[in-house]
Amino acid sequence: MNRTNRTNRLSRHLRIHPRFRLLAFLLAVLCAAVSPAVAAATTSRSMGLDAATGAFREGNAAYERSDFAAAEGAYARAEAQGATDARLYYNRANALFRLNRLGPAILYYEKARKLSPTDADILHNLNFARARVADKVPEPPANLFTQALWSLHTAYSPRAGIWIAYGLFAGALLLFALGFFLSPLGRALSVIAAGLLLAALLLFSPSLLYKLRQQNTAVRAVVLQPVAELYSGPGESYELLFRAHEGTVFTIVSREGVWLAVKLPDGRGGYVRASQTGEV
Amino acid sequence: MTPRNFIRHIRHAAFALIVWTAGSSHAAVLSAEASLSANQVVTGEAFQLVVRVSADQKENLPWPTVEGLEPFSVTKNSGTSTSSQTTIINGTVSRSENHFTEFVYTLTAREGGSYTIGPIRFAFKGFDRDLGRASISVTKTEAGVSTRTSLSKSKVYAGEQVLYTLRIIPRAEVQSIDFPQEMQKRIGEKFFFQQVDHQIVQRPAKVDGREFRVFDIRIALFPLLSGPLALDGIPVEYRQMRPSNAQGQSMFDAFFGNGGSLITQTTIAAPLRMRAEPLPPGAPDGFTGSVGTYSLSAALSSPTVAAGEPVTLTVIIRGNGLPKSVTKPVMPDLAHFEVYDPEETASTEPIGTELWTTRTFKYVLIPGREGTQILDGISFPYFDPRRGVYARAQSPALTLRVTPGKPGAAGALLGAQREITEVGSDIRHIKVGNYRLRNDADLPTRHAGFFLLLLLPPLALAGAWWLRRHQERLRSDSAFSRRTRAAAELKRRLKSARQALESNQSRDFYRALSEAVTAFPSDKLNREFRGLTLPEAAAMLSARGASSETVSAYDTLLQRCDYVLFAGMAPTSDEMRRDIETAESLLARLDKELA
Repeated sequence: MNRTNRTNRLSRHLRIHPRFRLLAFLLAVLCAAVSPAVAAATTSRSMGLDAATGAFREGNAAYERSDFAAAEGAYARAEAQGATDARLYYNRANALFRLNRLGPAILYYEKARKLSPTDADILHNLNFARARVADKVPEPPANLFTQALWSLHTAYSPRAGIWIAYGLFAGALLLFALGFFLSPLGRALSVIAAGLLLAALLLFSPSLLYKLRQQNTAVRAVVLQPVAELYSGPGESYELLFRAHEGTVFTIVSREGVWLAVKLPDGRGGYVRASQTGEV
Repeated sequence: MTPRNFIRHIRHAAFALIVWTAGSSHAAVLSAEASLSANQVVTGEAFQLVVRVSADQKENLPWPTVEGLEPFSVTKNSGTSTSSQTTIINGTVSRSENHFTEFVYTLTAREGGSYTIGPIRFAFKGFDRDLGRASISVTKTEAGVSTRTSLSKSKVYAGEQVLYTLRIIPRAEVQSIDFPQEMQKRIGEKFFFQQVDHQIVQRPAKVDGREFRVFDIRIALFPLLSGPLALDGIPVEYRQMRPSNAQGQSMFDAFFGNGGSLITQTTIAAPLRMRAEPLPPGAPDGFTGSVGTYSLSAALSSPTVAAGEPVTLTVIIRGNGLPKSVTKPVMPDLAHFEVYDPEETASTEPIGTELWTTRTFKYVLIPGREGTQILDGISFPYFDPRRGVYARAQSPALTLRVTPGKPGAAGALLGAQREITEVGSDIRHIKVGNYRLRNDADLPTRHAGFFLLLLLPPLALAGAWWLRRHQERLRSDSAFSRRTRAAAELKRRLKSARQALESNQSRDFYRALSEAVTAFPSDKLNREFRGLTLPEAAAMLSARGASSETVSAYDTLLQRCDYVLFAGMAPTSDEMRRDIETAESLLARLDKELA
């Protein structure tokens, strides 16, 4: 009898408890089933991102040569490869701005801001481009409380928000778990800390859910043509209300076929052809 | 407190008229009472009627209704206070709060006689009480102080200085005079004012052909508004001896001194009227409201300075207008200088009957370019009321010779301290770098891995709960504890036997083997096998589910152990190796069958 056999026999004394055998088996099966699919998807995505990165670098080189049309073309190819990177959108917006395509430039600055809301370069260039828009729409005044809430809401990206929420959730449960092994005082403190984290999660969740909703649905539209006409209903037979110029940003209220019901920050609104706008 | 003051306090307390006190009769107002500080005064002597209202909530209470105040000069003021009380009865803590409002009428009788003040009535919400009446006897006395007021001009421009003189002529009985304290309240809204004399001394003067020793209070007034302006009568408070009354003297008065006591009286100076004209339009740039006569002087600390070295420019503005209106002068273009904010000092002093303000500005200048620099045009605009036109106080041109400076001197840094002037603006540059693009829009929630990760915290919580419960059971359930540790104990004993086998110590080997084979079922079943005979042990194993083959093997193995340990049998190493393998196999079967 060799040493291996002895080990196998002894290992039976240390084997997985029968109650957990089924769970361990299911986990193993799940991992085995999911792993190839995940690996394939990851590889495919990875190859697409590699190609996109190549096109992105080509675009950067063209931009540095002041060949903005070539740069814009390269950035478009990178985007077609499936990359949704805030830096790509920002660079493409810069190229479009240099090509005097104000509407598409603002559209891409807005897209970049959606993914990276605190990036100072994106905010600067977006404001710079907005200053060129023919239509000046005054923002309604907001009180300090609303401004503070909005600042907090816009201070993180959706991806960061998900990890913040996960951190709060995991932190709270781990603190609860830690409480099982602490003295009564330590347990009380861990429960309080966990409660605070859960409360923070509760307060944070509405902001995150709203942001995720915005992430998944287009909520703003930018006028891409020199002039877009807004009607009182979804059709050109309705009353023409006003004309908005290239780069004006609307909030999308609803969709009716090829028409978008939109409104401006000052409350004015109407129906505009979706084809005249780009959606963020 | 002297005995005499003590007696006076007692007497005032006795005079105090508590007219009516109501019990708790309403949710808000609990009680109201009225009291008078004295019932015998002289003309001009101030005394107080106080109405004190107590409420259980903080309320904005109305003033009481008091009749019979026509013969008096009345000044009213009110104040509130709060008191709280905490009571502990049979462990029950209760707290109550009372809010007191005092309505104080300060009264001064103008004529002698007997007067009745009242009825005094206080009404608020459901509370309505007549607080009664009080009688006061006023003895006519001659005023201890008379006043005269005058203005140096009755028609001025807004902001122009005008002298107000209050002459106080005291009589011999006057012990002390309080100079006007409420000037700000009386005239502060319409005038800026400042007392001309720092000290007020009594001096002889002729009034109406008679010699008196008078106090003259001189105040410089600067009208802040234009149009007709009224200077209200200013109250002058003084103290004089109450005329003695031998019949009214108490034993203490007679013992401690004469019967006269000190009383406080007030006289109101005559009000005055004047007119302030508005300033004409067309004020020059830099005009800050200075009206009067102004002069400006400027001087350099040195006529020659090296480039980059500092030189001090001192500008002094002096005038008799509103002191606060003197601000920085209008400076010439100092493009070739680095100019620091000036150090400012100011002073006011009376000259004759006017108040003059001198303000000094010390500028540190650092010339940045060599050559001769002319500082021309340091000026201060003001309005000249005598001519009725705007004017400008200006210094003669100053010449500063700037010699070449040392390399690296402060002047070389001139550009660094100026604000950067933007000459253009543009978008920021693209983001370049050797990084790889990513999918920012590809959120973690779109991946199965995230949800597996999401399971980890609840699993950790469940695991911690199970572990805690397991630990508790190990501590409290000895059978469970032995059963749980049986495998680990067996492993340890078999390891000990194997070590004995490796060193070929047969007795130690079989002792360890016997120990392992006996202890394992003991731990598994929480029954002690050590004291049992082999048939008893076999019977117990059979009763707990062990097969006959296992029981037979168990019996055989223990017998071999006994032979070696007690009968002196000497096994070979192969036999020992076979025996430990048999033991391992046997214990594995036992583990399964006894589970």
